[in-house]
Amino acid sequence: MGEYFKNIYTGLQSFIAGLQLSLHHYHSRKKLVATLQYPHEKWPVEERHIGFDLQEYNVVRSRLHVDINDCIGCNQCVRACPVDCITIESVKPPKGSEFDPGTTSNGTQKRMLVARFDIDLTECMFCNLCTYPCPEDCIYMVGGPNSAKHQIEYEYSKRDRKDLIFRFANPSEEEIIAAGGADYLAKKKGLPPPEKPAAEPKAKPKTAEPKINYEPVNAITDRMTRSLAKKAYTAAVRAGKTASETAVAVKQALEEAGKYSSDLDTVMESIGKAELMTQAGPAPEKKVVEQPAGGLDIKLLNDLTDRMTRGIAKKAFMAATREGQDAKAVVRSIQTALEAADKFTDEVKAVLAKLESPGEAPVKPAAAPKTAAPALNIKVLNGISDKMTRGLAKKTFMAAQRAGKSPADIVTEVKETLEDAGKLTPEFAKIIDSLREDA
Amino acid sequence: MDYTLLEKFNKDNIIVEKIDNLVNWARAGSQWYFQFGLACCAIEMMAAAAPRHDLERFGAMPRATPRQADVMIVAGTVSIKMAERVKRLYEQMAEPRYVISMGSCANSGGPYWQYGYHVLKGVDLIIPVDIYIPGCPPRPEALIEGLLALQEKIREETPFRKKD
Amino acid sequence: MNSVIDSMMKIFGSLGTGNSALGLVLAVVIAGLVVFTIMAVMAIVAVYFERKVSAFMQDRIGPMEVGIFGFKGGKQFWGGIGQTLADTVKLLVKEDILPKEADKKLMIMAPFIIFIASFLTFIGVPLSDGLVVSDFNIGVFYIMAAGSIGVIGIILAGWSSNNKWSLYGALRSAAQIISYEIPIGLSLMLVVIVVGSLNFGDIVAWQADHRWFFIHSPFAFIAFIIYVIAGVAETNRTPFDIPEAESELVAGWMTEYSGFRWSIFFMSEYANVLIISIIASIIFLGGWLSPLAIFGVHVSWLEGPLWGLFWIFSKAVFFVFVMMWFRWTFPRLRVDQLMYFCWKVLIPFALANLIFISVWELIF
Repeated sequence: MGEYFKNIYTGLQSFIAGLQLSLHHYHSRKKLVATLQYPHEKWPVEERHIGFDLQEYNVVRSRLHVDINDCIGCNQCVRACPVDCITIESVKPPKGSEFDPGTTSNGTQKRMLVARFDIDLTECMFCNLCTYPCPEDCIYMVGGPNSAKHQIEYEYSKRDRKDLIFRFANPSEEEIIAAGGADYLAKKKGLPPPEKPAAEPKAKPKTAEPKINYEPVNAITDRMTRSLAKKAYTAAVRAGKTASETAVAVKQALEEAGKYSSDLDTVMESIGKAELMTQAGPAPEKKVVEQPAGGLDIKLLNDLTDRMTRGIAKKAFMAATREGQDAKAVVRSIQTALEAADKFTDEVKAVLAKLESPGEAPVKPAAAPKTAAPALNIKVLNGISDKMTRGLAKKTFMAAQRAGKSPADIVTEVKETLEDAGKLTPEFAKIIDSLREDA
Repeated sequence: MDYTLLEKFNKDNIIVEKIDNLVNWARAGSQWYFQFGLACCAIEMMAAAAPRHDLERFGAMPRATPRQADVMIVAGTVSIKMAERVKRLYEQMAEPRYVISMGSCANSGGPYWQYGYHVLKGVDLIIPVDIYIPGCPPRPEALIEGLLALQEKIREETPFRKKD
Repeated sequence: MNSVIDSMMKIFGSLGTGNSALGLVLAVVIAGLVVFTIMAVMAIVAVYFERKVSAFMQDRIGPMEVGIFGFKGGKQFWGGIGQTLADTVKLLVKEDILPKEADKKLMIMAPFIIFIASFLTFIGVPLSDGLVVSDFNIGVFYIMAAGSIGVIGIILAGWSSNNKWSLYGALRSAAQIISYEIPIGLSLMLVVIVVGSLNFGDIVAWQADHRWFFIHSPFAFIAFIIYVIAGVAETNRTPFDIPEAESELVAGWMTEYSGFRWSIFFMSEYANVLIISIIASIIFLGGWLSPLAIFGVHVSWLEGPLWGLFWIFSKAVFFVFVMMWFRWTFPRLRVDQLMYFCWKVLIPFALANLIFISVWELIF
């Protein structure tokens, strides 16, 4: 009962106290009104000291602005932006062009014409991180310490979202083309690239500068040794030594590294006799892997199932072919390489035997069984859902097909391989069997 | 072109123009906003309604129900889950209705535009937006300026005249 | 006290139409239009007044930018005068939404029922000596009865909206209004006991002979306080605005209304506020008597029909200000606190008051 009356008394007290407070605010409105009437009075400066001096720091986060004449196109701001809202595309005038992009206000010579500098202000989060790495201080947040360059602006609402993508760079088309950006301009417009003016020799005439002949050094098979030898060779040649002196220098370098062996003697001899620089003529064309006479097709090596083996074999094949060796020699070098790597198996022997036999028409061997036997459709294997299994099955299928096996054999082989790998399920077996039904 | 008398009357005459002006003035001067504060921009919207920068000076009263609101201020990140609700609430508003997209997230997904799998990349993918206010978050003065820009846009409308 | 209708009938009689039906109809229509105008004007002015007052109490300035008739808004103090006019016009041209699942007939009827309730109440409220549309000799009782009709409108509005939150809001509002009519009734009954008549004219006449009622005795003062508080609750204003404030929280009984229908709700709410204020000023504050009547001084040039109108309106405006003052001071009461307050605080006090005032009257 007492509490009841106490509650009522407290209620009355707070009632009166609250009413007094509002009345006080009502009566002292001229003094207490805190409103800043916005369009008539603007006040972009914080009145409290929040720990940063207005002269040094943008206390109000306002709009970003770029003085495009100062931009050197270094892309530091693009890299710094955490949300990737800046896009810069620049055109570099080619060497020898007379186009001068100008200098920045700090005196730096610009080297590129900045053709596009877009900041998408609907994506920007106004973190100011892009302003710090700019070497020319050309991107900045307006107002505050930058008030001298640009007045503060934080109210710039638009009716259309596209209007909020600020395009700061507006070079004219002639400028871009003068800077050598005809390609760039065409790509932007979606046109095919313009025709290059003919007869302009892009490559410098090789007669001007002779190149070093590395043929003798390339004969060294071991990679580490070869690179050491090449370094020493190059240094010697550039120093202007004669052939025999070069040979001596190379031998010395290899001995110091402890990699000189007696079978490198022939190489040293050839260095001593070689022409150090190739004179005249265009750069030696890359030796395209054409089929040397005799039906040597590198694709025959694709029958090797083991990846490592296949890689080593192919490398050896290429090296040998580049030297212009005949089939037998090629095969021998492959064999050597594989034996060294301890991967010379019977399978490899069979494949190499195929390589040796000349007279095989240089057609894709894989084509032969396809026309000879009824073609099995590999696409049936797409029914296997497991990626690993499917890959394995297809590989075996292709290998067997290239080997010219009959459909029954192909199917059996595929099944065997899968069983070996432990991946043959009854479902997959059915799919593999259906290969035969298609054929 | 030859217009009939009625068409001429509808097209442009002093009475309809004055009524247009009156209605536009009324609508622009009394934009009741449906406060749709979703994230940080909501704090700036509250700051704009607070005594320092007072939104009520422009006649903008906050209403909590979309049926009585004129303008929906989408303030903050719209996630895909919320997008459904935004669309539903927009459809519940009574015409004539306007939308102000406030802040980077509502404009185009904002900082989440590249990798935000949960963010709707701009509220204008689901509702038609009249004014975009940039900022992250925009200052209350920026919001007020956006509201004034919306008022200008309203004053250009011709509800009773047929626009050619 | 004559009523306006009677006066007008006399005028028509002298004009020749006599006591015919036409004269009656004409008189009624004119009176009705005047009442409607008062309600509308009251709504418009009160909304502006409220926004300004609320702004000042919250350290800001209210509407400032919407000028009227070329008076451009801006930094001047009265810059926002055209605000309510703009609101009204905007609401008139807004789209009218009737949700598909809602009960259309009820939804259309609800605003009008509430409006009719306020309108009917206005009929019995005198605005000055002789300036009442209909002089009931059961004035007080009629006012209370007519005011209760509004509850039906609220319940209909909540029910027909097909919105569970609206229904909650409406039922809470109904419970609140019905509960708070009891303290109001008890306080008014106190007045009737002392004065001995239900007629407004008699009450003011009694106050002319004695003092203004609220200082007649301390119990009358308590009755005055109870009346004011319960009156605020009757009109669904803060701190008792749970039904309406649910608009601000989730939804309220007015959620599904937009445009013109909603403006009718809005208008009737402010009309109710005015009614409560006028009745308070008539019954407790001396009605159309001048303030000097507190001391029992009657100055004839301060009293008369027009002066009476002035006094009533100033006192009513004072009460309206007090109600707005309450609104922007107190936080909202929860529903259970609301009910506790009514049934366990106000009603016991009002009943006790009745007993004590009877004792007082016997003694003094």
